[in-house]
Amino acid sequence: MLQTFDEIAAGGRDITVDADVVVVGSGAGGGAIAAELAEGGRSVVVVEEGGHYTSKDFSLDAATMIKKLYRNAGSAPILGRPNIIFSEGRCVGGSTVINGAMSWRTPDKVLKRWQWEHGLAELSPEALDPFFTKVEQRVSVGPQDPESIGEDARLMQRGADKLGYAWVPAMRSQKHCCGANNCAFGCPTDAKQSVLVTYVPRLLAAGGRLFSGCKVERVLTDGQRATGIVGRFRHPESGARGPRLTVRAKIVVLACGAVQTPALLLRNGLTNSSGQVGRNFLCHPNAKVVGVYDKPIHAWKGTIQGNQIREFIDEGIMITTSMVPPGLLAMSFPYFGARSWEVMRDYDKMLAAGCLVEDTGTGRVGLDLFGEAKMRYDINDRDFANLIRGVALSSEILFASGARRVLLPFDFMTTLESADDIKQLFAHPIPKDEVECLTVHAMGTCKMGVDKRSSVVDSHGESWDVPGLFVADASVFPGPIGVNPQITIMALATRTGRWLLDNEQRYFH
Amino acid sequence: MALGGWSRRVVRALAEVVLPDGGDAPTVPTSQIVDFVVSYVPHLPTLLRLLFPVGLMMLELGAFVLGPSLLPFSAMSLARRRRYVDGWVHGGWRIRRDLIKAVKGLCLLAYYSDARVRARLGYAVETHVADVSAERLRRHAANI
Repeated sequence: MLQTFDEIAAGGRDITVDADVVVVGSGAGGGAIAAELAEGGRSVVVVEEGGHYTSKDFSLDAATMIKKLYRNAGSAPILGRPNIIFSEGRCVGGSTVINGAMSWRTPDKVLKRWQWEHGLAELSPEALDPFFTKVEQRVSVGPQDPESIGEDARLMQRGADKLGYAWVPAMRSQKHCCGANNCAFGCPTDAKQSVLVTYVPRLLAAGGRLFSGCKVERVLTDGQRATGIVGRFRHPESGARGPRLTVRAKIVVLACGAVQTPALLLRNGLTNSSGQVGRNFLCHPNAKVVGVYDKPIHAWKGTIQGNQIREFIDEGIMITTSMVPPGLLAMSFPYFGARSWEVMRDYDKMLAAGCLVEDTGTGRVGLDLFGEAKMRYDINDRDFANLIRGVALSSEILFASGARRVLLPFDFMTTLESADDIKQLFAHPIPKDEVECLTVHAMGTCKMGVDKRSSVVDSHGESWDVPGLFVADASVFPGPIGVNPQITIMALATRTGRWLLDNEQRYFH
Repeated sequence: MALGGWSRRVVRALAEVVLPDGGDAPTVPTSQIVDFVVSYVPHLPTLLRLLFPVGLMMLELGAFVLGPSLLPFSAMSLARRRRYVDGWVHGGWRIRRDLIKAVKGLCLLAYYSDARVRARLGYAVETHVADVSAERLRRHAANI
């Protein structure tokens, strides 16, 4: 049963519910673990802060949808040098509703690092394989149908081929995606297999309950174990207050993402004997470059990413297409007035490419004066050099594919007119705070480990300090993964769910 | 917390500067842009929401010091406002650049999301989605 703010507010009374498990958050981690447990016979309640929207509600108007589907309308700043804009979903299905559905297993080299450097011997590729396989089936991971690949992806591929750079076709969670390219504002055809159309229906079919429009304020404990949560219904758009929700449960799972999960723990003063809650904040900083071609290429037709350039993945750089609607593209440029129009009137001839950097530095999530999450992250010199190199390589690929000029993500050096100009990027140091940076990947803030002095949760996601309290989102990653994290989150959450089911006597009696 | 008439006036004055004009750029009513910015502010994190009007005040009253001008920003001529905003966009103070970037970005998001502007850019996304959705059903109805 799914109940929204409006349905609960109409009743007007506070609600108390008993369950085996309460899951806070309904995104990649929350959705996966909730369905796993419900299908395993456990009574599960999911509490989601955002609203419940379906493809009937999704419009093609970015300015409208960004306010409905994104936390802070997509504008949460990570303060530092440079400031980085962080966007995450806040709706039933979480960020899977607004992401590009890119679906990659955790690279073997990353799992090896986690084994060697963090002692997580259980997380080998072989041990995780059944969980990856299960998740990939649940969300229909596969290559795109050829007719859905857009001209932007073909151009990137052509540029990479010309330069001899390796690329891979995109693997995405989708069923016959037709290339509507509206992933970031909700898939209008339900081809994208987000949690909204996969795990949520499974949860509900297995008897689970989902409350949307309810912000969890407290995690309850009996002094030792986690015993439930208390939340307040709030209208997802207006913020109007509704009744209170109390869920009494044997197991509490936090899956609010790597920013909101540590913030909730810090607000509640929980599970921080290591001092690590909120630390180790990783975000895969990325920057966008835009190629402008002589002819219209309609980059907004075709799937959001048709391929990824993997030539530099071992250096920590991944490059792909990343076209966005004109409003979002215009706001990322330093132009305004007549100059903005001069540039944007070529929108139909533009191809946006993004370069993502696997970070080696870390930041921190804490609380601000109002008890809300605040993020601090200063990109280190090594990662910044990689970011500039990523911009240069992206520019090179765009020129090789026929771009006549490239627009850069810098405040002062804004355009390259030819591939020969790329060396200008290295002629003088570029100040960090003059780079337009963004991210949609937050990780690492409640990291798992084998030593409770240096980690927040154990290798199954259970808090070292509060038995019965689990974390099942990207917070638990001990390090960056260098690729889109959705499948890793789902696989680790499914593994945690399986652990709970296999240890019934310990957790449910 | 809703933005008051004073804040709306400053946003309007800024929107008149940052919105494309001239050439074949479509005209979008400034009031529509201001309404969008006002509707966006409540979604910001609390701290930014509270600082937003403070930033607008810096823009408005900073004109006395940074302009330098005897008039506040919203009372300057359009040409003067353009030069003033240009100084903020390209100035050395990061806080000014960040503030103007945020408000300018919201104005441009609203402008380029307008149906008239999207049509002029050739961004016929509604038609595209309708076409590919119909084609998807035709090809794959049995498998989805």
